[in-house]
Amino acid sequence: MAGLLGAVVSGNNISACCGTIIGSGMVSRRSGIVIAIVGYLLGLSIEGPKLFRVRQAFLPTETSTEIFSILLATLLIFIGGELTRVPLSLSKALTGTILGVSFAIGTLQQTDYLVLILIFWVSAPIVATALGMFFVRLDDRYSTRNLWVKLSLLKAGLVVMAFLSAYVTGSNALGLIAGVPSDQPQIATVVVGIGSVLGAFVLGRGALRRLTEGIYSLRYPNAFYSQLLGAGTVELANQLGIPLSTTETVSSGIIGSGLASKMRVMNSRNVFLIIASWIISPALGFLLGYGLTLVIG
Amino acid sequence: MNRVIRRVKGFFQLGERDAFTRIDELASLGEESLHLLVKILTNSPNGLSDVETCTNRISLLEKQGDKIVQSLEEMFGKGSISALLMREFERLADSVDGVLDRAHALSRQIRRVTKKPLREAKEFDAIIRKDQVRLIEIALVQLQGLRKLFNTAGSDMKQSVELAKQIELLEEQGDDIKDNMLDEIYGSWEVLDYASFHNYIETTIEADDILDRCEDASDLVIVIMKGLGA
Repeated sequence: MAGLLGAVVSGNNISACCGTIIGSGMVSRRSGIVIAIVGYLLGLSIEGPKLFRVRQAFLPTETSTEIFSILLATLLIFIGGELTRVPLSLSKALTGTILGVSFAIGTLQQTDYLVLILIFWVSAPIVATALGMFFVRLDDRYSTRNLWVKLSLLKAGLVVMAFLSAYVTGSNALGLIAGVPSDQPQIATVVVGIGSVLGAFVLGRGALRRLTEGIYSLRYPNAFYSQLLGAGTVELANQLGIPLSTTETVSSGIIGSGLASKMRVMNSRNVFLIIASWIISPALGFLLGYGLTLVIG
Repeated sequence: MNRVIRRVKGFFQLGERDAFTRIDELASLGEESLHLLVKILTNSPNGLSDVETCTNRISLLEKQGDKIVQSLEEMFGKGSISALLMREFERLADSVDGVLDRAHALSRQIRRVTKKPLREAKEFDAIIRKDQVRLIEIALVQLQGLRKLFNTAGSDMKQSVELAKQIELLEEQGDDIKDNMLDEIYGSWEVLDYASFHNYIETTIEADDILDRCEDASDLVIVIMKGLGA
């Protein structure tokens, strides 16, 4: 189950990580997927264990049934999100599920840590939006007058950003999944890693087909700064062991940089959908985790 | 090793800049076409063989232009440029290609008239041709400005906007000439037969269209540069 979740997270995040560099023809589809896989695996192995803290804090001792409930509930939420075309955050859903299971068995105690997570979830999109606006305005005012030089640097920088986005996804989302089975974290890490490789190749192709709907249709500065903010915010969350959605922070950066570019017309339905998913994902995870534990347990 | 260097170089290479270079090539073909058109119109009375030679050369340039447009479309299809600006780039290529198409159509019409001269319009013809040359010469200045715009667009936005304004002013100047020409043609309906009347109206509108295309292209360059973050 953890391997399967690793596969869907990896496949689902390919377009957010490498969509720009593949779509703009900088690298081939295969090279883009390889960059993402290297990032995922390095992130998972180097900083992934930091995210084990979530399960350790809320479920210090867990049974196989509880592990199964958590993974199954998260997988069901992901499938539901895909079927209804609502962009649900997997890391938030998984955290919500862990909390739901923890609440159901009466071990939900680490309130300080929970408050810190909630503060991050609320503030990260706001800060990313504000920083997106700030960076783009700063860029407009102080960047070099030679646009071609600037764009060449931004374009090359997007390759680095693609790798960093994959790295933080690997450490944060995949690390969170690998930390769920408490008694065998190393095996779980290997299985999630294998799952992410398979997911990138099998499911990533489908996600890449939707390229033009996503980040690729942005101006270079906006794409660069939103990815920089996405990767930077999630990396900060990694240091504190807080699960955070890469897509969520990148989306906030996109909104912020769009506002700075004097974007007067915004697709309000899409923005509403994104914001709703930020709230729906953990709430749904909590309810499903709680319900499944009561039913199966 | 060379492959790796090429790859790394590719990271810094901009599809948008390459597209501008290719469209500039297209504009250079347009420039040559307009020079030939002026030659056809000013060396009056032209021998048919001279007109034939120039028209054939313009046809060749138009075909070369079509090949460039095709290669640009392939380039866009491969995703070398930002999807956000794809439509603008397509329109830009189409506008500059339009100059070649119109120059081609005009040269063929002039060849047609040279082959079978219009009997009743000989005196009137000289006046109209003079104004047509003025229109084409304005288009030539516009096209030279447009080519300069392609080269300065990435490095100096202020100068680029200035160039676009100059091209727009030239288009307005051309509009006045076209209006005067049309007034002249309509005012002389009694001395013109149907074929002559139709010929002058069509060629005047066609010549003015070249100026419009140049102006559209310069506006699109500015739109693209702003879209790219200038």
